[in-house]
Amino acid sequence: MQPKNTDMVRLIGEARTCGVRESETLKGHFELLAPGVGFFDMPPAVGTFLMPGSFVGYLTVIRKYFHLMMPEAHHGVVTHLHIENRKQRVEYGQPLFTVSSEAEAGLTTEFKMMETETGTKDDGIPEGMFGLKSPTDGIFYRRANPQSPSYVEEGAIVTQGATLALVEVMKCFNPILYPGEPEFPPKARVVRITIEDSTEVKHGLVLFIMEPA
Amino acid sequence: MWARLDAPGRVTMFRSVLIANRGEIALRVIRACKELDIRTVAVHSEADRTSPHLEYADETVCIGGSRSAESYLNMEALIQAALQSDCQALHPGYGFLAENSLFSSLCAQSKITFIGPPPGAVRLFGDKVRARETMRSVGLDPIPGTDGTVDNLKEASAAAEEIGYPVLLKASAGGGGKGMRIVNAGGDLEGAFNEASLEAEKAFANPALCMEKYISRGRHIEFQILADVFGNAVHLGERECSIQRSHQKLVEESPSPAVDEDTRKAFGEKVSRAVAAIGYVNAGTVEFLRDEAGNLYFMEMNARLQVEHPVTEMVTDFDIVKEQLRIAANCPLSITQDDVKMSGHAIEVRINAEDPDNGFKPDPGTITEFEPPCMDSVRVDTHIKPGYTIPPFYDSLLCKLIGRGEDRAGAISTVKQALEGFNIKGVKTTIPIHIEILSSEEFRKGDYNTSFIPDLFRAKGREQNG
Repeated sequence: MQPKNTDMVRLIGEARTCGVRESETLKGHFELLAPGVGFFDMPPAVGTFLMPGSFVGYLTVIRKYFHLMMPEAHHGVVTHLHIENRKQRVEYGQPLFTVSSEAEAGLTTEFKMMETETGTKDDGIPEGMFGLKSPTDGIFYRRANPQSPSYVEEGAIVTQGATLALVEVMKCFNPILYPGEPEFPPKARVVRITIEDSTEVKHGLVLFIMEPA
Repeated sequence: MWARLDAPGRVTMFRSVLIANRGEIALRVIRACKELDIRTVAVHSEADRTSPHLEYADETVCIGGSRSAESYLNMEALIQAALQSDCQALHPGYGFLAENSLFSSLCAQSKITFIGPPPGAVRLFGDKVRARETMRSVGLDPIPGTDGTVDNLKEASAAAEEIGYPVLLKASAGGGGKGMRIVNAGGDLEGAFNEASLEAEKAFANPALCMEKYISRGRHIEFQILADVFGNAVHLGERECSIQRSHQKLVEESPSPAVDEDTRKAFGEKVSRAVAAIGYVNAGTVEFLRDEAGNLYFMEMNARLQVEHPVTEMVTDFDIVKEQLRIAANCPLSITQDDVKMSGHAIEVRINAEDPDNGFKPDPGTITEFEPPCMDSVRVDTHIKPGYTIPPFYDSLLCKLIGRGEDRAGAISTVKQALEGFNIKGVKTTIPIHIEILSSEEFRKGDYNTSFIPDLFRAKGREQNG
């Protein structure tokens, strides 16, 4: 039987950049807008950290896939999706999701990327200290982009919800946040950062050695 | 002649139609769809978010930014909008993508019926040279002239003898009056040829000239045609559109005071036969230039619904847009030529947001007051409401006012009265110039031609200066 043409061939269109509008209700939040008419699919999960150029979904226009990108000079954490279904039809300028420009503000109850095990003697973590492990395989970044300063330096004291680093998995940037209570003290000092910037990490690898502050 | 790629054999009416245009014509098409119980999906640009025509549609889709290229000319967005809102067909209106063969082909590819002629017909009439040849082959003669260029004086002289004086020399590379000379007799040819050639060289970097018969006091006459997929075609009589300002029609009327009943019948049937012979489908208009001897020369064919279609609707009492929808749904024509009865006389004036005292400069702004006249036998096609701000991105047409009378004099006085009672405030409009045209002796006598508006302004300029 002859396969259906439309099922076999998916044309990949070029990337398109989403529009941005400041949120009217939430301060420090902005909405990403659909750049055209089409079926929108694969939105990022709530809690995903987005950088300029990040992939934020697909728009299907006349059976062509367009790769949607985060615009220049905008970054933040997805806090709310306006799209309920997969493959939802959208019009030009329709809000797709809300992004908080302060990464910390993105910490919601839905967001649990960090594993919360304490280190054991086997990990080589000294007594009275604890380790934060990578939640996934990926590439470890200490800064949002090569020009910006590191999120934290050794010796810094962090509180619950602070961004420590990013781990990139398949073009998605996941922030490593300090989880705080109940597993960890509400405030902690970064004793040592065990991994070099922009290196590959494995799931469960200790990234930060910390002590209560 | 052209195979329909979209759903051959469809005989059911569309459930939903996408209105791929804006303003007055979008509303006109929505009304026709409603009368046929078709769901309508209107599209709009960012700047047209508050456009009043959207209130009449069952659904709206924003297709892009304010500039036409991002929205109303954005083929991909329009087709996707039709696909995702479950439309089986798309009406392009006039302007924008109405005569774009790529767009109608793309519609067919996505299984959306383009309500208009097939792509091949659109392509043919977009190519002036091919259109002339094709129409000549089916018996409609274009203005006599050379098919190619005349390269030297000898060729020019031979061509002029064949065509017959007076002749018009014009630059083959351009328009706008540059490199154009009227030659009344053989003795003037040499000088005119050299001058025109030099001027064309300077203006378009191409000295090539072509020659055609010069038609003085020409009148613009056009025939409205409807043709179905089964090869039937009818004409709905003619319209006269000689009142033009730099090729923009201002006033249209039907029937033309220059065409008599016998000519209408004989020539109209010739035109509809010709259109059927080339396999044209849907509504179209064949434009002619009429010389003083009464010959009608083919100029071009507009493969779309025209702005001035209501004039014909008023005198024939027949809805052209509804018929367009039926033809696109592969229905046979609902009328035969014998059913077409013209009665009375109708005149349309285009009311634009332009300042006629200031070279017709567009005057965008907010309409503060808008009260069209309420009169028997006056039709106002508009999308305007009080408080509406005219966006600066699109054309300046505010509304079309069409008046009907038992005879021509009756139609003139109806339209004049309606214009005098029309209250529009907030922007400058072309209403004063229309009243002036309708009051002029030349227009009332019906003895006018395409130089009416230039002559009027020349006379006005003289008055002001002297």
